[in-house]
Amino acid sequence: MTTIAVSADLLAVGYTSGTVLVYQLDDSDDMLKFEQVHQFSFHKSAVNCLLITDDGTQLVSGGADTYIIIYDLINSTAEYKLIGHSGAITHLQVVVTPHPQRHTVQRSLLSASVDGFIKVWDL
Amino acid sequence: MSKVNDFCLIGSLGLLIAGSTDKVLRVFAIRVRMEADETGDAGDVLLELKGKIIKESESRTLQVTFDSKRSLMLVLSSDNKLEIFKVIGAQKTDSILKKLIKREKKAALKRTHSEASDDSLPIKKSIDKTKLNQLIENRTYDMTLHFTRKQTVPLAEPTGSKAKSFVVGRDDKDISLIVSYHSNTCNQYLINLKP
Repeated sequence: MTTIAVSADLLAVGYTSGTVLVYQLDDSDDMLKFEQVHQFSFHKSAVNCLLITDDGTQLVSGGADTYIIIYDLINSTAEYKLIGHSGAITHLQVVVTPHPQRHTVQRSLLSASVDGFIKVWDL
Repeated sequence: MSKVNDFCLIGSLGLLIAGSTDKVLRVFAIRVRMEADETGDAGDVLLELKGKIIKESESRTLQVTFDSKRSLMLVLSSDNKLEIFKVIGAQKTDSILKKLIKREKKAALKRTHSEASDDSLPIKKSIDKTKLNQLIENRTYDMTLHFTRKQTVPLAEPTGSKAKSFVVGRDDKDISLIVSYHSNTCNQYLINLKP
């Protein structure tokens, strides 16, 4: 196991093999139970960081293979593979900013890497 | 180019703090492009380097975390040192102004010493507070002034193993910290913050 991410009712676990397992937390009984709901194996090497979006519908993983993968947790599929870094991904975070002309908010993904770059991606 | 090992966002200040392999924390301002031009579209998120914070630890940064509840930034380095910085909020412009005045006075004193001849009388130089207020309003001052070093805590680990990551407890008055180590152990620390 290399990294975990939690949200209100989800737990995502990344492994050195590149696999990501997502568990649903069930605390309806007295005991806390974890039920595996998704399994993704798209990274070629270790998963370094994970992020579950605020609405719980997307999961983002950053790997030692330099790739960032965005998963759709509703349809249990991988949506996008973000290619741009030349080193392992070390950290991911979502930033919400106002759009100056549309007067709406926009979500961007920030990714840090050992290649020395922090990149900004549109979500 | 230095590796980026970790970063944290301080939303209220619109800052991103990045930790690297050296003893420097780089402070970036998060800016949104207002109008489209040849370099990009309106709404693009841009990062501008605004300053650098020098850590006490010379080892690489493992984790940078902002605790919004306590307004603290916690920085863990690979030599098991945890550095705690107080973060001054965007509304506390008085504190920033005080820091700017202090810095200006120090700089003026330095200039006076270098300019003064042997037996000349001390020269008193005034600080232009309006100019400094303008800098604050335009957010063109040194953003590292928002950070004040509060405490450095060496994390004692009996096996001598190196720290890997930490999480901060949210409910306590003091800082409750759970640190994971490469030896597959987790230690809990209670840090009594100096007033």
